[in-house]
Amino acid sequence: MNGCRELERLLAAGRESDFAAHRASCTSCAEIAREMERFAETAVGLRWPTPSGSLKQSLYAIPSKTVPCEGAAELLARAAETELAPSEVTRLEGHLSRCGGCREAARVLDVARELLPPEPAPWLSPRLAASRPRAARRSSAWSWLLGPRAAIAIAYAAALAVMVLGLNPADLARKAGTARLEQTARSGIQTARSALVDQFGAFQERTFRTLEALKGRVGGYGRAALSNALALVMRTESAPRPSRPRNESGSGAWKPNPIEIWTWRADGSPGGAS
Amino acid sequence: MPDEKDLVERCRKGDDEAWRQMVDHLGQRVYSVAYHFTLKREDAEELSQEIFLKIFENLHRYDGSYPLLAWVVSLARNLCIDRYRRRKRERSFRFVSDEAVAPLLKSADDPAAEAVRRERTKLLFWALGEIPEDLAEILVLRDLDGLAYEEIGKALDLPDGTVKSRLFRARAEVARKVRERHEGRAPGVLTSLAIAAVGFV
Repeated sequence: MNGCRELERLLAAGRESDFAAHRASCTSCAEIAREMERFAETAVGLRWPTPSGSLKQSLYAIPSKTVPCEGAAELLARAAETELAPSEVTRLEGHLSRCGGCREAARVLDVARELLPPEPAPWLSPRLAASRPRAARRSSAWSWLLGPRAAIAIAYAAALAVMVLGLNPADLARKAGTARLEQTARSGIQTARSALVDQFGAFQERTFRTLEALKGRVGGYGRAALSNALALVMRTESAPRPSRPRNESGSGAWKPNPIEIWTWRADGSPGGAS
Repeated sequence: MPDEKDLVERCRKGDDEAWRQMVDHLGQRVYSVAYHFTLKREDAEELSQEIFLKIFENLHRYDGSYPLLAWVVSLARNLCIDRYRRRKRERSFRFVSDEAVAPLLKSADDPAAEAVRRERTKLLFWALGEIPEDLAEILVLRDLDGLAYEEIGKALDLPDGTVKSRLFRARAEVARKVRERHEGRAPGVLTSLAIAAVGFV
């Protein structure tokens, strides 16, 4: 066996004429081709296995064992209202035992029926109890007058009265609309004016604070200048300041050793390291 | 055979006679697919029932746009694959018995020829268990279950060209497996074929 895979390649590509030529020259592929032919004969010679009579009877009876998913939905809906016939229960249970989706649907419907009423918050009942006497005090006529039905009735009665007096409700509504517009415009102007006043007040406040700060600074500088002038006037002659140490050649600054600390005597000569 | 879509519609409406027609029409093919997959009568019967239950419960999904057989085979195949995954280990070391292939063999006058065919059939199923699953299933559907290329293509959702090329590869792989087995083990399968032939002479 030389592992030649040309046969597969040619057959897969549908090049059967090339395959015949290759087969004549390749012993490995020729052998495989012979095996293929033998197995093709074998496969063709096989018959289909026959289902038994009992299996067929069982297959015929499938509609009595289960329902399609759409039928299951109908049965589930009916089961919530009425009792199903025993055959329907059998079919539904048969289906639910096999179909995860419908089983889940059935559980959800069960949950909907079994839900408890929600628990009220602990503060709710005292509040309700506290509101009861006030309601009880209210007479039945007053409670009717304050109810929504009374509001509707009064509105209808008013509209009727207006019409009886010969007024056109549409005109009244238009007038009311104009009045509302005017009122709206007025309140808008009022709002804008108060906003402007606020803005101006804020600006004034900022300016005042800035001026105060400047005044403080100017005062500070003035005091400092006065103090310096007095110091100059009052200053007396003192010993000459010691000159800075120079290097050995006497030119340029001397770089002190950062570790050593030098002191100067009052006569200006370096005192040496301490 | 009545119009398939009409038959499905009648089944959906609860027509028992239509369902019987459906079973008569497809029972043999479905059982054949199940048997070729399991090679065991009891398992094939159980699997066939599962397949028909699935068909009945999913009738609303068949839209009639392609042959009913292809739709049924695609349902059957999915169930077979589920079962195959559960029993993969068992299947990969499957021993193909005489009893397993007996229902597939036509009775012949010549016992020697029958013995050779039986051995070769066993070898065929052994090799099908050895080659990749996607190749094996196409060979079974075409050569054993007798489906047309188009039906296989619809059932497996593959273009015709792919079906053909996979079928050729499957046949070549089966042949190669048999040869490897023969060359790997000297007193192997082909020898047993020869013994079977000689024993009946």
